[in-house]
Amino acid sequence: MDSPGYIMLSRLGAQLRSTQVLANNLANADTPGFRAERAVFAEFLQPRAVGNAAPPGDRGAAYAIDRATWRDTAGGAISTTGNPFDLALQGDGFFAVETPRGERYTRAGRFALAGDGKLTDADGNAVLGTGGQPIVLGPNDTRVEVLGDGTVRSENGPVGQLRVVRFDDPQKLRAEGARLYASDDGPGAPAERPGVVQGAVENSNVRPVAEITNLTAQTREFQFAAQFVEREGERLSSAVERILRRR
Amino acid sequence: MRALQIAGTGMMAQQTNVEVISNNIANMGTTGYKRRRAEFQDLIYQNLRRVGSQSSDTGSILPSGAQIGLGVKTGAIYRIGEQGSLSQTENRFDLAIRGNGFFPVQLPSGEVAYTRDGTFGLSPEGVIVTAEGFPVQPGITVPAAARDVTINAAGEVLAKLDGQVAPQNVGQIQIAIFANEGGLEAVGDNLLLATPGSGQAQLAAPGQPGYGQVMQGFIETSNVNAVQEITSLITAQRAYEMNSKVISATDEMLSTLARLR
Repeated sequence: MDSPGYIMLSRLGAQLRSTQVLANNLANADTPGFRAERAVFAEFLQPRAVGNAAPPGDRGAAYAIDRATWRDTAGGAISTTGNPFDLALQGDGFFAVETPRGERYTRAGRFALAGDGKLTDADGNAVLGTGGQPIVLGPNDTRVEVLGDGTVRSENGPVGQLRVVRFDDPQKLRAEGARLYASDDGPGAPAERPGVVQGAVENSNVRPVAEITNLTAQTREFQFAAQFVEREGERLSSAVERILRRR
Repeated sequence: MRALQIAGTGMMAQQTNVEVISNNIANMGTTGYKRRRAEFQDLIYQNLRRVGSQSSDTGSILPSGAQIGLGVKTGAIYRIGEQGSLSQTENRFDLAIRGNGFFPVQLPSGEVAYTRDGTFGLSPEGVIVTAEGFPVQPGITVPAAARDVTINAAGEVLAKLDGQVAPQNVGQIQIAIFANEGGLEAVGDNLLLATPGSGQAQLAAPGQPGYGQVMQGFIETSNVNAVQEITSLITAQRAYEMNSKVISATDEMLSTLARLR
């Protein structure tokens, strides 16, 4: 039996999950280095003929599924803070940090010094240099300069160089929360032009206007789909009634 | 419905943000106050379809998975150590630090706290103390007979005594710097305590490399910038509204569902 109601139901479920993605974007509109996400919908074709070979061209019902979430990789706005350990990346690279779970990547260059002079992120994970070693500043390094290529320098000479990596397919990075991404394909390649900016931090790339507009559109689409389900129910019940009356 | 909870975390985060901003504005006139800023982080993610998993038995790999973030949390509240502007008071025991460093203060509990608030005075015994009466470290006693006291940029306390041509050096004020000033714990009354995150205090005379200079007759005002705070307040309020809009939109969707016949 044809099932327009069920097809619309798949749309409703996908729409609800898409609203969650949108809610998460808006909730993180103030999270430095956050990347907005979008749900990607696809159709799921149900072949009409049951058996080994569905005849080509004989298309059945097309259900909607939210196949994937897609990350908007556009850069966020860079705002200056004047803090020497706030670092923003102009290119498409990521800073590498050492976590207990292994190497992780972040765009949120809101770093600070730990008590032992290590450069760390907000959760205390050490920021890594090109050699895979943490960047450690001595007690006498008071004026710290970070150059565009990631070189960290103080008045006592060079300290190290930040490891900035880029990924051929940043969509494959897995978001872990706390502004960190994990890579399942091994570490990224060193970025040729890291474009490190000192004293600035990258905001999230969430555009509230777009999100709110999408939210309104989604609410209406949802209502439309729900209405369709309702009408379909009415149609079915009236059809059943008519058939019964004919007897 | 996770969208409700997600937007809820967004509203809570913005509320924290407004609290931090209101504390900054409330302390606009506090001597030596350093403004704070709330910082947010994304919460955990739920994998509906894991990135990089196989989509068929021939080994095709999903180019991107379906991950749904579950909201936002407050990551940290930073203290921004930018220098506040100096305001002249002409009071001879008002000291400001121009540059890095904190005055060490001996608390009644025996602990040493650190402050940028240099509105000092003299105790009945002639010891330099803070506005609360806690002695400034190292204890410096100004002789009762002193006609005038000069404190120079290097923190040397020079007392002019009757019958002496040269002023007498009665002590030198020390200032402390930390590897990570952000790791100091604020305990109120303009006082900060050292923590494992801040590292050990490194004491030296003012004016040494990396240390600030002492200025007599000045106090350091707070570094709160009214324009910036009001702008952040507006942004926070709008962000709060947008999150509440998500809640009402989700509610609308749910009530549409509930009305289905």
